[in-house]
Amino acid sequence: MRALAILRKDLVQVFRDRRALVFLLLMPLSFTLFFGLAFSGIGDTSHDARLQIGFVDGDGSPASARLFEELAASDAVRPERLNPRLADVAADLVRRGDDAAVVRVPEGWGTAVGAGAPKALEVVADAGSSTGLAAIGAVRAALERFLNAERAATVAAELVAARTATAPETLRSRALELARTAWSTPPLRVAATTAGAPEAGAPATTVSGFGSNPYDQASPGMIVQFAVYGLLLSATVLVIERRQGAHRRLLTTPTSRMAVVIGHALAMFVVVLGQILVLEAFGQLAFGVAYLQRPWATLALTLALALWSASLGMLLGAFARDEQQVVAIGLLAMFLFSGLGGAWFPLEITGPTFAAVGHLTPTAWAMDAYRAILLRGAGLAEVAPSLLVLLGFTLAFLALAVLRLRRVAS
Amino acid sequence: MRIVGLRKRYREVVAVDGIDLEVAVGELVSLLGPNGAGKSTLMDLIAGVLRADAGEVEVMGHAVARQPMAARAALGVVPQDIALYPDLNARENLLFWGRMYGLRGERLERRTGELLDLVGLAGRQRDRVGTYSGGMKRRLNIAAALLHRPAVLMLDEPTVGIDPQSRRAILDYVQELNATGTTVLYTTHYMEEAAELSDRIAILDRGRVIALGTHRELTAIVGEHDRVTLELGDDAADADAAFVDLPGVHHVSAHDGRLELLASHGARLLPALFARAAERGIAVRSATLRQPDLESVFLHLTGRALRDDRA
Amino acid sequence: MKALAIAWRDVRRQFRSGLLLLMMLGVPLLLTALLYFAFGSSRGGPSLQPTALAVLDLDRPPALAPVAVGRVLDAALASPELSALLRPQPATDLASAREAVRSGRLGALLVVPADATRSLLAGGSVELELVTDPARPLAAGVVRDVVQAVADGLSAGGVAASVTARLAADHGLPDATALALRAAGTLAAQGHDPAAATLTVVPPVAGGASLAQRMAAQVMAAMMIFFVFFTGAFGASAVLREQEEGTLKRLATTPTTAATQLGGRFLGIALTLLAQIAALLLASALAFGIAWGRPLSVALAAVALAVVAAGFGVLLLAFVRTSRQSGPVFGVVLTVTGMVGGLMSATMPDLPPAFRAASLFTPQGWAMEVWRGCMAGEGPAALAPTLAVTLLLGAGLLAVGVPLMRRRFAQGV
Repeated sequence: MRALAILRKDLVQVFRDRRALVFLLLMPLSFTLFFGLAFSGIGDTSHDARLQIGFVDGDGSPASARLFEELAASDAVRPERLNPRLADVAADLVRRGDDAAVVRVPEGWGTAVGAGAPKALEVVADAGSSTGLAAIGAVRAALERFLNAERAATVAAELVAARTATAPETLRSRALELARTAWSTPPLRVAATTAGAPEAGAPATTVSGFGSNPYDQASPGMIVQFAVYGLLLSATVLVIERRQGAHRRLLTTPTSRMAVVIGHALAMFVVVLGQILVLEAFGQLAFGVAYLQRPWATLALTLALALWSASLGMLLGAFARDEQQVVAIGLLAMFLFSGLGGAWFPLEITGPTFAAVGHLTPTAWAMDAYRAILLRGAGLAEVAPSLLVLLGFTLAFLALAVLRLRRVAS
Repeated sequence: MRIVGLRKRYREVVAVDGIDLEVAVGELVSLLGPNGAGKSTLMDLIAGVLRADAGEVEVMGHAVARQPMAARAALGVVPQDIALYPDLNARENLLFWGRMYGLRGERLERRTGELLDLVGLAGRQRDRVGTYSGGMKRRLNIAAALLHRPAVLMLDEPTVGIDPQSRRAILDYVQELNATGTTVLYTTHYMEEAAELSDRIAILDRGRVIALGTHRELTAIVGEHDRVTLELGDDAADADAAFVDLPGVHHVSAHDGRLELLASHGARLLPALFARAAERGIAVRSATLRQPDLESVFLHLTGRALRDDRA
Repeated sequence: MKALAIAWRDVRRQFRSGLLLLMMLGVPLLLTALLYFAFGSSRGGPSLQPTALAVLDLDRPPALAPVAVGRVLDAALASPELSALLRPQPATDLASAREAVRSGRLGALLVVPADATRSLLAGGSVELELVTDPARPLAAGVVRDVVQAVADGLSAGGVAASVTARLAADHGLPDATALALRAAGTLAAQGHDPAAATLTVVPPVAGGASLAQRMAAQVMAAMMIFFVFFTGAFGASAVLREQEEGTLKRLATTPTTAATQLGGRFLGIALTLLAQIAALLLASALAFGIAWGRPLSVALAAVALAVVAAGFGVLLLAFVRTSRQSGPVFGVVLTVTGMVGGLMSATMPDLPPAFRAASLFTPQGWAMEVWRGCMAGEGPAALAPTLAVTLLLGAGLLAVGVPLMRRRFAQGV
């Protein structure tokens, strides 16, 4: 088999360079680890991951004290009292990132709340940052709970006061106490779960958009990204062969064009396949990413992704003029396919237009399939449409590469 | 140019082993020697690229060790490699190298134009050097050393690996420059070039100048000795002993199936040679007789051929 | 000026290579554009399509009940205020609805339990089950918050009722239940009044930029630093290429001192880097409307970045033997240090503190600190500490790298 001889020669050339292992495995693994750790910043409960916010009490009323307690009970923010004189530098604190937000309670706020006509609460925060947005959301939620309790207490105290001689203030403070207790177990509660695998019933995580296990995004994302990066080496082998005339020489031997193309493509396929399998095994064992919960679907996706990646490598090897171009075009392809295809962040969190554009890249379909398997527990039948799209891209890329190689050789 | 007791060693290897050489203003001296004789090292020492372990070099009265900048300003060096920027065009290359020699303004522009004309590249001056043929690059490589009208021009194997036409053109420039008063130090391992160009020739071997003089003086060293080359084939190894005692034979050396003999009167010796060969059962495939030349000089002085890569 | 001629040669060669130009300017702008458009369609938050929420109402209220939890919830979820976030629709079968959510055909499923109204009327509590799409956690979070808020609104009446009942009972009032019902009614009449929870959001800087601009600015700064470091490394490695071309040695035969050569070379790198930075700043300001900060701060930050990038490049040169090696070696080292330096995670919220600490072990991390301060509108005085550290770091790198370089390229640098 001449194609196999070419495959073997390519593999020897790729792995002769020990840097191959750095490109193929060490870099994607370190990136996976990095992004996984970075994404886990929010869901992590081992340390107090709540956002620190400042609380400037310019009112000093019992109401503002109760608001502070309501904020302290939040699972998203951790308020710290600041000296009221710091009110003016609140913006600096937020800007420097010391505090995610600073809540400023204006003078007379408590009285206004008691009168049923609340004054506006000031929040110094950057609505343009996700941290700021999260802090604003948490403050708003706490404020609503606070006001709900106030209103309940007000109504109850008014109704009872009309019938007893007890002083309204006493009634109201007792009512507030009761209201706070009641809100700790409200009549309507929402228990949120996610449907499907891995553990149906795991609490749905919010804010980050990266799911309960951050590696469910980071691991397949980096596999997809480095499936593009890893083939730089194989593509370089092809380019060098073309430049040195070995390709032309090969065609003077009784080896069919088809065997040559298949041999090179096989080499790229084998390299990328091995790379993906190792990275998946690592994801499963070290990061708890459940690739194996649907082994056949994962295997089919792995094969399809490796095939597509090999076709991209052939395209690159056929079109690039020298090694430098391989690296430059390969890097560009990696950035574009990873960024647009949702390898860095789920396309879910982008706008609909971007997600639609993203699905013009094959990587988006690979990511869809990975996420379906890992998060939904989707089987082979369910990911089949994504895989077919991936195979379509593969055929198109291969056809282009073959056409180009034909023209180069003749 | 004056070179006194120049010595340079790289770890174990003595590249230049006590060279003394004086080149007069307007003279054209060739350095002839096989690869590895120390020619390029000598050039680097003269240009001050390398620091000598011992000895002294003076260029136009400037000691290279003490006034390197003044010495270099008087020198134009044409390196053996094409030392040009492939991604800049010819004009940009010349302008840059001119600036490195301290030219500027109108004079730089004028010299650049003149040299582009001289080396016949004016028409392609806006093309990147990377796109040039080997001969064009060689010519530009020389032009870059001429911008500042150096008093002394050093060329290191400027004709290696180019077509005969470009080679002819380069030899013509060098002669022209020399005719207008430029002192030239020309390194080569082509003895024909050395013979054609030079006022004097210095033969280098293993870091030493083993002979120095005009072409005539050098060939006289070998006297009236002709050179006879016998192609013998496989059994050449011990054959030298067979001829050494023939009358008129001064020197015999054997290598690569060949026997080289220096003899007083080659033509008269030939019958005796063939007779001796027949007598000893040595098959002679061919025999060549040559008048005294530099090759013979080298052979005479070192017992080795000047070039192994004979064309 | 020979040094100028050398510098100009280097700048010209750098900018003449289409490939390098692509790396220097094209890729960073492209990546920023990518993220800008990924998040650009929104103002104030990641944009989401309204989530399809199936409501499975299993509630069987007793006959003549004054209220039915399922119906009240339905009505509340269908309110026009929520139409941008939710598209509620009725569901009939638990298993098939669950499967629809799992496979992504439905965004979420809300299950109202069978005894909801009954237990509520009995003073107990009701647990609503919300099942969300596992592959769309962000949408899931939004749905959960919205449903929680709606539930809270409905709970308010119940809370008021229970508080009133307890208070009335404590004071020995006979008609506690009636009072409780009145309290719930009053609160229901007030309704869920969003205006009541008045918040004024004050931006920490004047003239708030859109989220997309904020993100673009962070990404642009990070990408600029990332690729400026590449330029610095490739600029320093130009000396390797010259060694291979033979021009380095030829330069040593000209009357040009080592100091001039070194000066010219650094001037060339500095000019290239500053030109790249200026081009990126300008292009991104025009294309994405990024406000980079006060002019003097920006100028100082640019200089600091150029110095530290050049210094790191000169140091990296020591680990590269040929210009062919330089691509892969620089690629790996700069990508890894860039990653640790926080350039890949510039827009990620709430990174663990260790990440920021780790970033300060890399020159890129310090450069990013400087640009963060710059974009926050800090003046030179406020910027001085990070600026000083970055410049010192750059100077230190040069102090280590330059002697190594001079020793190695002894023929001339």
